[in-house]
Amino acid sequence: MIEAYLVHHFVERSAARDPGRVFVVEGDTGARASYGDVLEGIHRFARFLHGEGIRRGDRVGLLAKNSRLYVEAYYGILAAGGIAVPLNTAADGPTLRDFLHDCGARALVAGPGFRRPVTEAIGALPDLELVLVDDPAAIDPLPAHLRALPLGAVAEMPASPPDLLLIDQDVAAIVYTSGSTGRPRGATLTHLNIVTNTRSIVSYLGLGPDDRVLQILPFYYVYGKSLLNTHALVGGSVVIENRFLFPNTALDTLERERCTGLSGVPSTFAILLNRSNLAERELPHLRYVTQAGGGMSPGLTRRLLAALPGKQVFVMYGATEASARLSWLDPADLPRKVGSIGKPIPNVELRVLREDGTEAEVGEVGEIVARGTNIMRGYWNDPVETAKVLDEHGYHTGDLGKVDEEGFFWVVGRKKDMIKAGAHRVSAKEIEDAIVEFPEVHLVAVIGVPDEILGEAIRAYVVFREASTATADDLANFLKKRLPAYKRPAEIVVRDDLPRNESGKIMKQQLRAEAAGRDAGAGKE
Amino acid sequence: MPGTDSGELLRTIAGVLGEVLPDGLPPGWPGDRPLVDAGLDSVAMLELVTALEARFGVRFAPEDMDAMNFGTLDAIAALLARRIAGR
Repeated sequence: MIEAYLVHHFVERSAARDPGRVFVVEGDTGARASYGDVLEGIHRFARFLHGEGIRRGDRVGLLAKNSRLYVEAYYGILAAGGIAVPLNTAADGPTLRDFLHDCGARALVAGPGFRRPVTEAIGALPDLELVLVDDPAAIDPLPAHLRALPLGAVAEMPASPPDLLLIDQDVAAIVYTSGSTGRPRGATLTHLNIVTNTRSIVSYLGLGPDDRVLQILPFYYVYGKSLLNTHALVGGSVVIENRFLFPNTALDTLERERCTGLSGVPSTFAILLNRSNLAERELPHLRYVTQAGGGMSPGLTRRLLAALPGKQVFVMYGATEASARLSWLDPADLPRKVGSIGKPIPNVELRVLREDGTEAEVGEVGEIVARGTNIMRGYWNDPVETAKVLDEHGYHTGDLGKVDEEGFFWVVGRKKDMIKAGAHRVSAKEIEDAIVEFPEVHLVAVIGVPDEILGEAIRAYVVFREASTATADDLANFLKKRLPAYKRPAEIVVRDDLPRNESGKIMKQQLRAEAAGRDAGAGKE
Repeated sequence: MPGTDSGELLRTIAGVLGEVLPDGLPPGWPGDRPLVDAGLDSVAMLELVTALEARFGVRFAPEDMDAMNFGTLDAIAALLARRIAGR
C-alpha cells in the first residue's frame, strides 16, 4: 500500500486496513460510523463537489459543529482537490464574509444551525457560486448569482471518488487567524505541511489503532483538527462530545466510550477541575491528557496532575502557521518543568533568536523561531504579512522565549500586541479601533490580563470625553453591534487618564503591571 | 439578595444569562427552550453558575451540572429553588 501523502489518504488507508473499525462516535446519540461508512460519505461529497464544478485549488468554506457531517465534508473537499477553509462557528456574519471574501471561496458548506450568519455572510461575495445547506429555502434573501442546494443531495451521489491528479504540495487548507492589524490572515497549509505534522504528533503521543480521543475541541481549530487527523492516520476513534457545558456529561461519555485520550485548552481543565467530579473518577481507560492553546497557570497544571494520578499529561505548544504543533513536554519531565513548553517535536527545529537574527545564549530572551516541513507556505494572497513572519530563519512565532541549559523552551511574553483569549487570538488594535468609534471615547488601551479560565481576558481602559455622561455599560452595548462576542472586552475600566510617555504614547506595559498588581491583591492566580 | 418566588427567580436567572451569554438572552425567551439555542457554552455556563452562587448564597455540586438541571430557564429555577430551600 502506498504511504499516505495527502491528508484524506489517512482515512482511505485506515479504511483499507479495516473498514469495519469505528472512526466517528457522536457522543450525544451514541451513533457510530465505521471507516468504511465515513469513506463512502467522503467520496460522495467529493463527487458532489466535483459535479458542481469545484476543481483543484478551489476554496470551499466549511461551517459546521463537530459531527460526522463535518468529517465527511472536510475530507470530501480535499478528495475533490479543493482547499478546505474551516470557519469559526462563533464568528458573526460580517466576519465570515471577510474570510470568504479574502480567499475568494467558490462554495460554502454549512451544517444545521447557521442560517442567520450564513444569510448575513453571503451577500456581496462575487466569487461565491454555491451554498450547500440543510434547508436552502431558509436562506432568504438568496443573492441572484448564487445557487443554494440541500446537503441531502450529497447522499444521492455514487460512493466513488473523482479520479484526480493531486500532489502533496497542493494547498489543503486556509485557516484564518487574526494579525496584529486585525485584518484576517489565512494561514495556507499544504497537504505536506499537515501530513508531516500529523506523523510527528502520532509519534510522540504514541498513538495507535486502539486510541479513542474525547473530541471537545472544535474541528475548525487546528488543535481540534489535529485530533481528527492523528486518529484517522492510526485508525483510531474520535468520540465527538458537543455538550462540554455539562462537564460531567462529557466525562460520562469519556467513561462509557472508554476514551484513552482527552485534549483541551486551559479553560477545559479549569472547568473540569472547578465544576466536575473529575478527581473522584477512576477513568481506567484514560491513558493520557494533552494541553495546548496557550499557557496554563502552574497552579492549574499541578492541580491537574494531582487529579489524574498515573495518567500522562502532555503540555504542548504550537501555532496555526505550523499546521498545529511545534513543541511538546515529555510527561516524565513535567513535574520538574511546570511552565515550560518542552522541546521541539520530531522534524521541527526551534531556536531563540535575537533581533539581529543571531542565536540567543542559554537563558537569554529572544523570539522563538521555528523551521520544519509543517510550516505554512504563507498567508493567502498577502505577501506583506507573510514577509513579516517568514524569512531565511524560518517562522517567527511572535512569542518571546528562552531556552534553559537542558534544552527546554519557555515562553515569557509576546512580541506583538495580541491577546490570547481562550482559543482565540485577538488583535488589541482591532478592539481599540472599534472602541474609538464610540463618540464619547477620548482615549483607549486594550490589554490581556491573566485569567484562569481563558488564559487571558480582554480588558479595555477608556477615558471618556470631558463632561461625558457615558458609562462602561453604554460602551459595552455599543460594541455588541461591532465585534463578535469573543472579541469584546470582558471588562471595561473607565479612568480619568491613562499613563503616557513623553511623546503621548499610552504605556501599556504600565497598565499590565498595574493589572497584575491589582489581580494579585484580589487573590487571583 | 434577590427575591425567591418562582417569578422572581426566573427574572433573576434571565438577567444573569443576559450578562453572560455572548449575545444576551432574547426578550421573552421561553422557559422550556434549550439554552444552548441562545448560545450557552461551557465558559458562559461557568460564569452563570458562579454568579447564581454569589447572588443566592448557595453552592451547586458538580453532580448538579447536567442538562436536566441547567438545560432551560425552568430547570435552573427548579434547581435553584431546591438549593435555596436547603440552604
